[in-house]
Amino acid sequence: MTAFARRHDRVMVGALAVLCVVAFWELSGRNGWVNPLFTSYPSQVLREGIELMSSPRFPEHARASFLEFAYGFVLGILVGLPLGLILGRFRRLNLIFEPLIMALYVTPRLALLPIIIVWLGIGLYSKVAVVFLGAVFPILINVLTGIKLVDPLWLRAARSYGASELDLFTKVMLPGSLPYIFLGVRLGLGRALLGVIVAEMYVSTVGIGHLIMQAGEIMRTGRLMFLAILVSLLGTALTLGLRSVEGHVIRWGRASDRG
Amino acid sequence: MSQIQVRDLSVEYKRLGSTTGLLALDDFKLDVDSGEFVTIVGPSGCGKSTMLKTVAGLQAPTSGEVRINGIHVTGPGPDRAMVFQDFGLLPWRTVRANIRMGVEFRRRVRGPDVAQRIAEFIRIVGLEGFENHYPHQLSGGMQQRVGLARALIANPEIMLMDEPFGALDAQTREVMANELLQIWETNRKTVLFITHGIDECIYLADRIVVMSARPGRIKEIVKVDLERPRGLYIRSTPQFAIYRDHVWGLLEEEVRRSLRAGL
Repeated sequence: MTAFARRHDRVMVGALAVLCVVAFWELSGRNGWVNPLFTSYPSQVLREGIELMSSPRFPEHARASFLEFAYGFVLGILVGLPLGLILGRFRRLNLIFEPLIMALYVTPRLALLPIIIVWLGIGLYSKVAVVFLGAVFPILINVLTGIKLVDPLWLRAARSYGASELDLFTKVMLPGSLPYIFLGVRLGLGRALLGVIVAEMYVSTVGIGHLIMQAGEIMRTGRLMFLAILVSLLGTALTLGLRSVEGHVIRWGRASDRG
Repeated sequence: MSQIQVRDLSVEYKRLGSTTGLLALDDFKLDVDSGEFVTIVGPSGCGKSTMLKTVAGLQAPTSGEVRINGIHVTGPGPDRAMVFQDFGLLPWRTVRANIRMGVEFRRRVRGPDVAQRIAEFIRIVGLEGFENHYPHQLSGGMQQRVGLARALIANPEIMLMDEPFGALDAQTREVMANELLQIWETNRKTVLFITHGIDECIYLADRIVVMSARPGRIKEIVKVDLERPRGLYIRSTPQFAIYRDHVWGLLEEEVRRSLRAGL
């Protein structure tokens, strides 16, 4: 094997596997091995996708979904991060709030959807709320865990060299829990994205989730597949972006590496 | 007046779900003079680390007290610096930034001056060229050199070393002990040094405190009259062998006792 091939081993094998699946999918749809109404096939998906994206109303849908996601996710970080830090730092507060947080965390967000609609209507805000509820808990819980798992030896060393409580927080606990903070944000991102689509499928007249629902109702399988792939690509791109930021910030190991 | 005075020190740890505590240290008395190198040996769990932590101000005594230069110890202070068995380095900080820890929290940091001193101590512990490495990129011996430089830069009167070479392999240990002695010869700081190594405790010390199994008490204090400066050759002299036999004799009994007690 050439040096190039060896270095790009993983990418090449992965790409090849994807290509095979796509080719088989195309053939099975075109030759009628499977009814294209069920699975569509890649060239049809692409055609439908181009048609959809060039339609005059598409930017409106994309914009709505983007705003719901951005507002909800950013709000999730703005609330989850400081709250996690505070609860991780002050044990008493944590004892008070942990049961509440856990109860909310395990409640399916969709079970809350009807009441959220009663409160916030079917416009932008109810979906922002669903996205927020998805993002905030993984962030909060991981940040809290990160602070709790800070190595006591780091704290003892810093304390022996005269660190104040503020020093301990800003110079040991905060940097020490960064791997978990990133982990939480990454998990929150996935849940936020899921929240957008699901909330739009249930209550919306606009947005990508709404388009998916509509495509399903009128059996436009190609369009549905295109939208699903679009969402998955967006999620992957955002996650990779976050991982790259993480790689630049943390050069000493991730939460997942340290068990 | 001795620089370090440990008076009737007892430390009892609370045990979860038990009314009786765990007595780690019982009526421990020790005076250490300025510039003295004192090593402390004893079986595992004899309270050596507890004693050192109390002197460092990281552990409150149950009764008794520690005085440094006559002043009652209530917490960590700039007169003491600690070196930890597991190094206690912050993994997200480079070698340089970890050494800076020795001064930054006490706000004795002034720009170019500190950078210069960090460079000086990096040279003293032999870490030139590794300034921007992270701890996980260094061997154990190199990590402890960072820990040593961090303590030295704080310019304490007293160095508290808690089995500093305990996590290192045997050869690295010997080299590090030798380097520590060389540094000590130039600054003659007071050192309290905990170890499990019998050769190490003799090689380094002016006095050896031999402790009994839990609860930790002083069994005997051995004065070491070997010439200084010492080189590694001294370990093969007859005098050294006499000390080795003596310390081992004291310890063997305690180690057996602590094994029987299932500690």
